[in-house]
Amino acid sequence: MGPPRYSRIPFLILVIVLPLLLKPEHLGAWTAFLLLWSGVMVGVRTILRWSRVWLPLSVLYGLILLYFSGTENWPHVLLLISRLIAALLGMQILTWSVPPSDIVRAFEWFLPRLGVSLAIALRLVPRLEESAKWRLETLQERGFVEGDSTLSDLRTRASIWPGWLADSLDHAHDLGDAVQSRGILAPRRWRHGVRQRIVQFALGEDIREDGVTPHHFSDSVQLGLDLEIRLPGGRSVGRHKELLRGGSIVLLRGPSGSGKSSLLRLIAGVSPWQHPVSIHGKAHLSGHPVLGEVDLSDGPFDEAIACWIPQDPDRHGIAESVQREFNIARRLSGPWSQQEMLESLREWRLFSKLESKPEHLSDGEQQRLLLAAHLDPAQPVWLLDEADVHLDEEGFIQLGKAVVKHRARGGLVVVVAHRHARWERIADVEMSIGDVLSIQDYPSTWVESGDEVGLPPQSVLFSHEINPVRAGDLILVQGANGTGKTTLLREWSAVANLPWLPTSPDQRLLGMTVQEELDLQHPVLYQQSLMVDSTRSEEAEKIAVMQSALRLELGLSHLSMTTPVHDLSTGERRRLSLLPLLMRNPPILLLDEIDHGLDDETLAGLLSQINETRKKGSAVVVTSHSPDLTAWAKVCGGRIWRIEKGRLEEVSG
Amino acid sequence: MNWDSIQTWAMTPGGIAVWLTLLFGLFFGSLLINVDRRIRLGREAALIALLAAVASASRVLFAALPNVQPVTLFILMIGLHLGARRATAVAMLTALLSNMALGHGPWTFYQAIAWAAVGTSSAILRPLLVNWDGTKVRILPLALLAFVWGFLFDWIVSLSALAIYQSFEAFLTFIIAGLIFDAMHAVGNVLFTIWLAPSLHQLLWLHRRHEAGRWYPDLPMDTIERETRMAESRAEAYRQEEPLAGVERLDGGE
Repeated sequence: MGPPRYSRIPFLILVIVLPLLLKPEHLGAWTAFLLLWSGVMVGVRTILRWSRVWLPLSVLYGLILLYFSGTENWPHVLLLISRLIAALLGMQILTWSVPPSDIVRAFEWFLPRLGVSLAIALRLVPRLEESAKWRLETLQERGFVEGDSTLSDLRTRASIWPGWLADSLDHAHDLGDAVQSRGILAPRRWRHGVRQRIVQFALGEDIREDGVTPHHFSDSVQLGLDLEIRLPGGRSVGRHKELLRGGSIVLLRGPSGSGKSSLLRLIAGVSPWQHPVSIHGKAHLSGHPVLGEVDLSDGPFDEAIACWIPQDPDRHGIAESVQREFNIARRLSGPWSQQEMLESLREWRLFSKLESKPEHLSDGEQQRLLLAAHLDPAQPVWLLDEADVHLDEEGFIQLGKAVVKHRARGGLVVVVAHRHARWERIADVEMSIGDVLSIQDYPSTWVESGDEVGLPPQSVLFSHEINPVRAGDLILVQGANGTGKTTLLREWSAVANLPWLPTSPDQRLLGMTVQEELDLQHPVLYQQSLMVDSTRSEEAEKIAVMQSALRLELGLSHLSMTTPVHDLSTGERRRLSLLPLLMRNPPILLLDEIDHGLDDETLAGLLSQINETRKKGSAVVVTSHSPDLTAWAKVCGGRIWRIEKGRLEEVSG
Repeated sequence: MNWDSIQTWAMTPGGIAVWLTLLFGLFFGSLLINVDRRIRLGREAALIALLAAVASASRVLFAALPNVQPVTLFILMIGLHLGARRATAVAMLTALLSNMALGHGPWTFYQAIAWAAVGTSSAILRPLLVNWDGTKVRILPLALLAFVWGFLFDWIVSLSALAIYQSFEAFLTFIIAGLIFDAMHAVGNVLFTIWLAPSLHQLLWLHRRHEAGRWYPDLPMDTIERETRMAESRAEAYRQEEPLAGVERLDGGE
């Protein structure tokens, strides 16, 4: 609806110059035309929002001009302000009509790396808003804003600002690592010279950047490791002495915090110091399609060294739309290469989401998008860090096919997985890091059902005629990606005022350090922390004791109070975010993908805690794709709910 | 057109505005090109992006209060911790991003220049703004600098008026008309400094902490010693398993 792409600069000149030249009666007509145009383009509400900022400012400016120039000059001042508003509206039409990706692309021509920064910033802005909303939601869920005076409410809201900043920094670091591992900071290689590019640009043709074409790797792909990863205190978190060859799938196992993800980051060529760790030794990769032999200690590299799919898909997608994510990942622009994208989207069942924004996709869909766009067949080494956690069975089969195909090409695939039952069938080599874990049976217990405690709400995504939930019930919700499992928990929580735990623990962590987080877990503890006098009230003492007992049960008592929350492992953050829920002792506990990022031992401890909660009379609702958890739920006498084809139904037997 | 006429024009109000703009543009443009070439890590690009995103989001959030926004303080803190070049990059991205929501115009360019100057000033005045080891920020001098920049920033942005109206009188009217807004900006800066500066300082320290890791080409000595001991004990175990190893047979067989 805006001015066409190639006439934007003449349009900009027109909207600035024309209001200065027009007579008053024509100026009114021009302004009315612009208003009508913008109304059709963005809607009345957006125009009202725009005028809420600019109209008062213009009026105030006009009043000041009147004060200095004398009230007898009011027609001139009025005309001046009208011209100003007309010019502003014209420029705003241009701003509304240019998609941000066009600005990024134009920017990249002059300053390529800052262009990447701009792209990341565009992705971060909606995420920052979301993150602020999660934090306010968490405050409300923990009972902070009930009955507080406005001033105290404001003070509480202000207290989450440092935690919000630290979370945003962590997210930005993740995005930066993703950018680097994909070689997006590298100078672009173009097939044609400058002259040809100018001709193509003038004719409006697509210009394709050179990429590395997928090929069959010979048996030259090798990854040699002889290194040790150490924490700042000198504690070793992994000693690796391996020679991994192409044409194999390596399954990497180990407890949480044993350095699996750090090793993968290191092989991916991104900052190995997710936390300030130091790397001693050497790592060597041969068979890279562009660099050939790579000594990883020579990094950072401009090129992508390996294809790295990290944990938490919502923290590693770069673009503001599905299509743009593909364009960036595969460096696509021409119509033929777009075909490649469409085929890939169809394979990963994302075709209908082509125009969607990544933040509107479910976790599973975001994971599929990340895999579809970034599993680069040209890279000999694939590093999959818990890549299958959010995937349903169909998604995992698709991933399995891609992995096996890559192995057949001669590529090397390193997989980190806590729920390794799925991978054991296709893995060629199994490697253990840290203490070797014994195969852990999940603790099961049978709890008699009690009184009715609730019923899930009807949702836009599905309808149901489910029997009510009773005290002590264990309910496992299953369903394909995007069917509405998380929506069920979110809406249930909102309707029945129940606390719920999303998959990403960061959505429920408020503090910058462990101490701040523990204080912000309960209003009484927070009030206590603000007092100068360190003597605890009786109520605060009682809550602090309960919190300490739960920390001990969840294996969190060893944490230093000054540790930044984002330096903790995913498993530790997950358990920390579960604490306030257990402290409230709600009638129904709503937990989304509880097994994400947890090793077997930690998960067993958590499930044992859940069993205890059930015995105390709470019902527990868990969503999961894991076959292990399904088996556990059945052994515990749990109920299985399945969302399919817009219906939520109980699976009998 | 000869050199004298150019000199004469350069001393007129419009001329002053043009050469000042060109001078600022060239200086900060060169800083931008420089920072673009120096970015090697994705994390650096992402940090610049994050700071620009937070700054522009906060500017849009406070848009209802005329000229009260924390961007100036953000840029001051960035200049203080990350230097003038990165502050210039954040300044430009912030102007670009926030005006995507608030509306672009000639002021976008001048805002970018003015914020870049803000960041450069704090980078230069760093010894006065932090304590001896850089672990704490001094709120009072920072608030004073933020207050001064509340006025200076708006006057730099008003250079566009000098360039358009080509008259000192119009420029002065513009400046005087905006004095109330400038004062609001300055007071807002001081309040934001008191509220936000400590946590921003902590955030930028957190980022620096993540860069503390290094890659050493050799394994640590204790690891090598442990490996040697393990290899020796393995060899010893092997020797014990084969008691005849090393014994030469009389018949010469193996």
